[in-house]
Amino acid sequence: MTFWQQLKMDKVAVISLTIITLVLLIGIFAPVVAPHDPLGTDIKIKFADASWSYPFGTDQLGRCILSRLIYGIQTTVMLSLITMAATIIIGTLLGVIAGYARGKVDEVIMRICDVLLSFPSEVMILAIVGMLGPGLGNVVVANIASKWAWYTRMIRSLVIQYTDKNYIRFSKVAGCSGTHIMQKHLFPGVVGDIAVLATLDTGWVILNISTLSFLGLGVQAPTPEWGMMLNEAKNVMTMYPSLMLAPGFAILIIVSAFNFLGDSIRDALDPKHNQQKAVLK
Amino acid sequence: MFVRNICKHPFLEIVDKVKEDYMRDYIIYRLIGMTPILLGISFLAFVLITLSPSDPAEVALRVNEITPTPEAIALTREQLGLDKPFFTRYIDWLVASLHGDFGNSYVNNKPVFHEIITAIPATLYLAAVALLFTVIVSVTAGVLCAIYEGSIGDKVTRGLVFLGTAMPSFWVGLLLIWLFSVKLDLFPTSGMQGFSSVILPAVTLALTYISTYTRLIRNNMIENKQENYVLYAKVRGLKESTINKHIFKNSVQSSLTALGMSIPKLIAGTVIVENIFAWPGIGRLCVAAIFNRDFPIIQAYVLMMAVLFVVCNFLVDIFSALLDPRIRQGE
Amino acid sequence: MSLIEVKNLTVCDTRNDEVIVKNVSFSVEKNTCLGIVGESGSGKSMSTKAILGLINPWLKATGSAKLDDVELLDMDKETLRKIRGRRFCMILQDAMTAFDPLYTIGAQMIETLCENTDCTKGEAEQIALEALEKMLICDPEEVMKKYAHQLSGGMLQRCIIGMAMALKPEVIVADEPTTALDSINQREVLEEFKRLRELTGMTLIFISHDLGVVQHLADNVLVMRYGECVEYGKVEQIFKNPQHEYSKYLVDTRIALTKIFREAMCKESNYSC
Repeated sequence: MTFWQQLKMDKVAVISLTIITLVLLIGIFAPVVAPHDPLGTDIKIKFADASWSYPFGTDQLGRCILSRLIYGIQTTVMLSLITMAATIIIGTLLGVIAGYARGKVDEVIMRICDVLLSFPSEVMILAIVGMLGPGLGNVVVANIASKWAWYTRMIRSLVIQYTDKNYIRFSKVAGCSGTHIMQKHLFPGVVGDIAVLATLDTGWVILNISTLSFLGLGVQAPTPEWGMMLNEAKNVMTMYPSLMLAPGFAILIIVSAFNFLGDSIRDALDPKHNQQKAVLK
Repeated sequence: MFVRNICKHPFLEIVDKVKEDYMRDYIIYRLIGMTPILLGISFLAFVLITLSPSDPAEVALRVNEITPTPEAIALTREQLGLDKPFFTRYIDWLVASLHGDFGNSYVNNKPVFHEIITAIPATLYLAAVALLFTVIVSVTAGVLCAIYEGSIGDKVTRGLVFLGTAMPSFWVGLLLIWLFSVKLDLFPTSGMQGFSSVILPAVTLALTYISTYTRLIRNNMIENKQENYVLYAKVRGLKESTINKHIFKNSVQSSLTALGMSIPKLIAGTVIVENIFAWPGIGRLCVAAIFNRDFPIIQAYVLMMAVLFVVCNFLVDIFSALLDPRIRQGE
Repeated sequence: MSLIEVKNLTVCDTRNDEVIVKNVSFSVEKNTCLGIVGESGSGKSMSTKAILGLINPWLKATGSAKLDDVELLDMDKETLRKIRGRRFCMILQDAMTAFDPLYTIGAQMIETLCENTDCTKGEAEQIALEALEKMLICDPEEVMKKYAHQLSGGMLQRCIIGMAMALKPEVIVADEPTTALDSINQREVLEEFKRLRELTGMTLIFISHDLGVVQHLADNVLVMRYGECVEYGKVEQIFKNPQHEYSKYLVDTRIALTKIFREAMCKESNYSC
């Protein structure tokens, strides 16, 4: 069974993928889907209850919560995906270079990775945000900086494993150029494992961005962002606790979807898992 | 008596083995390996802050609401020693740090060391209580789920654990505050006063890690259940409880590294919790410092935490090696 | 009346309805040796594990397996456990992973003895030492202090057999005990089994895919293939006059192999063949 067939059979994976795709589509078409302007304030209707025109009610400045949630997708989810993409690209490039070139280049890159990996990622993010100052861009940079070393190291070890395999040696003997070998032979084998990590890490990045925004170190008001919305809800917790629910659940659902998807991809890739249906001695 | 020789208490065996040469060599080897990493980390910590786009002298002036005129900036730069060349500053800073002198806070001009020392006990207290919760709950849940694998309790716990990894901890904290402090008025909403005030923050902090470690212990035990020695133990007619004890010991071995690293992680993770619950620890200190661009404090915090992680990693590795007879015997 | 009586034993995987062992029947008299032969995956180990209740929870065993006229398949777990320790002993294939890596061999042997017999720790230790001596292990005290990873496969296998003997069971089931060993160790272990059978007259079920070994030790032979019983009878009859196609094939292949080997040896060293 191919990887895609395996994945299609896994109901959980299908549901997660559907949720993620739906959320992304809503985020992309936010101007069309959202009922109101997320930044449009109207103090007269602040803290309004759920109604047909304001399905999730309004916040402390009279802004439509649902609209803010929808626009928040752009900030929280899509930015996380961009962060992940950047991390993977940097990590893969350096990892493949290190793994394939070996020698001095490999040594240098690995020492840098060693130090960076010994640095706890939570602390690194704080350090970078501390250095650059609060702001969404800085949070993204911080996330990329704390994760790329992991991917580099992983991809390097995969590259080394694969270069030891015979079909690579044959290619070299047949006279294929280095880049050609990298493109055609190494990347496809490595993609699967990266896919699992990347999916699981996306959830982690989403949590990071919302946490930092919650602390006030990420997005700045009035940009809609789920963590920031929880921060604002915190201030009126005693009077209007329901404001805390929507953004929190949004984060929970999307991060769960990514986690489930990552797990399913890992199971689909793992041949041992598939053969559990076979006869046991 | 001879039986004592065969069934020597593991602790006594460990103590004996540490005195052995190869264990000592291993420890020394690891210590030596740790030094370049520590140096690299200190360099990184220094560089990160120094590479900031904002001029620290300017920042220091602005924070104290002094107009940053060029003369004032130049004067502050000299005062803060920022006019010296890069490596000199790094060495100076490193040497001073080893003596505990991290400079003074830009905000209130008090020694950074003093600020941190006053804030640390609160964080350690919080982290310790959270660690206790984490270990008790995750070990119990993990072991029970593994023993009763496939039961309803197992499935429910796994579902909860999964949700736990996806839930933002600050959201959980807020919900807990609302439920227990506002609605039920059982615990204070913030601050550090008396024992009841540590419960909610500790639970919030522990929740993320409980999910991870319950899963880890459960998976380790289930993997071990499939091992050949478990089959042989059953063949020999050993009691279920004895077999579970064997499985548990083997699983804890592998979980120990992760559990050991949870200590520095908990201390680092207090950043969010301290901010929600207004807990006077180093997490809150660090976030305030980031807002105020108080570089000396950020620098000291980053360096301290990084060193803590590396040292804990080292200690956990050594401890694991001591516990595993395969490594202990020098194989 | 035979000591062990198995009728229509069937093992089924409840997850995908696959039948692993189908309608296997055999009986073992007291003081005899039954050899079960077949290729890997023929269900040899599975049948014996099913009798002893050692199969995974998702596998279901039906049919009848009686020890001294007492049904084993529907027995409760606790009673079955006691029978496993005291009346049945099983020797597993892979000796190197059979022991818990965190405890010494001695500790585990004493643990087994204390659980299954009513002796104190001191007595258990003595019994274990004697058992190891009987297995011709030179320095039993040293061996008991070691961990599993410090001993060779053959040594560990002998410890397992020694421990099994010390428990004085009625039946010993040996599941391919020599497969994971090199030929020198194999020979030693087989000689051991022969010696013990002559000494104690114990009932033995010997599972192997190696026909030569089975021919050496067994009184009766059960040939299995794809989870089914292909032929069952006395050892001379099976080897000299196999009835079923498959048994013929096994015996012939075996003879062919040894014939080539013997011819080669003759050529090499002017050995008298």
